[in-house]
Amino acid sequence: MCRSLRSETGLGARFMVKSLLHEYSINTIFYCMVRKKRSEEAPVYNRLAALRADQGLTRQQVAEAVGVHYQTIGYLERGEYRPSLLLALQISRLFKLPVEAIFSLDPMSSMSEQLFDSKRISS
Amino acid sequence: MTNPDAQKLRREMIDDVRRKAERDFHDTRYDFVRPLGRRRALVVLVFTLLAAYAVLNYFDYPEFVLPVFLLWGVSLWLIRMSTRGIVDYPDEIVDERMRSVRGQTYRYAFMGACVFMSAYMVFYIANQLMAKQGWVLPTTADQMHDLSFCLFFACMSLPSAIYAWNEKLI
Repeated sequence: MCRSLRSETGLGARFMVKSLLHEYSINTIFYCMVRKKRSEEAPVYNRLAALRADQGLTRQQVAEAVGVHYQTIGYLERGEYRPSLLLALQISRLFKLPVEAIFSLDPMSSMSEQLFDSKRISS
Repeated sequence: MTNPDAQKLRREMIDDVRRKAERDFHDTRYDFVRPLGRRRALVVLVFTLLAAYAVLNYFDYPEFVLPVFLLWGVSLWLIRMSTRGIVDYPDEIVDERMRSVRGQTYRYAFMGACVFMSAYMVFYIANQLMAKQGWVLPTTADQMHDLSFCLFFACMSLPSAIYAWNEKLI
C-alpha cells in the first residue's frame, strides 16, 4: 500500500513540498519574524519639523510642495521613514537649504544650540 | 500610430483615477475605522467570519451562510475604506513610502496565499488518496468547492488586510 501511495502522490506532491521548502525555508520565515523593523535600522536624522515650524508651513503644504501624502511627512519627521534621494533633494529645494543641513546620519543638535555655539565662536 | 480618440480616452481614464485617488486620500468619512486598533479588530473579524463561513458551508448550515457572508463583505469593505484603497492604485499615484509599504504587503500576501493554497492542496490530495484506497471519503466534491471559494475569498482579502494591519497611520 505504501508503494502505491508513493506512486499516487508521485512527482506532484514531492515537487510541491520541495519547491515550498526551497521558496519559504524555515530560515526565511524565521527571519521575517525576528528581523528588525525598518524604523529600527540605521536612522536618518532630520530637522524637518523645526524647519517647517520655522517657516509656518503645515504638513499638508509641505506634502503638496514635494508631491507626497501628508502622512509621509509625519513619518519623515518622526524618523520612521528614510526618504529617497529624490524626496530629500525636493525637500532641500523647498527650504532652500543643502541636503546635509536637513538630513544627517548622526543625531543633530537643536537649532538653538547651534545658534548659541556660533555666537560664542564669533564673540 | 495611435488613434487620437483612444489617446483622449486613455487620458480621461488616467485623470479619473487621479481624481478618485485625490478624493480617497483626503476622505474623512471613514476616519472612525482608521485607528490602528480598529483596523486590526476588523482584520480579525474578516478572517473569523471567513472561517465561520467555511465551517458553516462544510457542515451544511445554509441558513447561516448568507448572513455571515454579508457580514464578511461589509467588514472587508470597511477595511478597504480604512486603507483608502491604496493597495489598488497604480504606482504613479501613491507616494514612495506607500509604494514601499505596499510592496512589502504584497510579498506577505503572496506568501500567505501560497500557505493557504498548499494547505488546500494537501487536504485535496489526502482526500483523493483516501478515496482511491476505498476508505470513507470524508469530504464531498461540493464541500471541496465550498472550501475553494473560501480560499479565493481569503486570498482576495489578504492585501488590504495586511496593509491595514501593518500601517501605523493612514
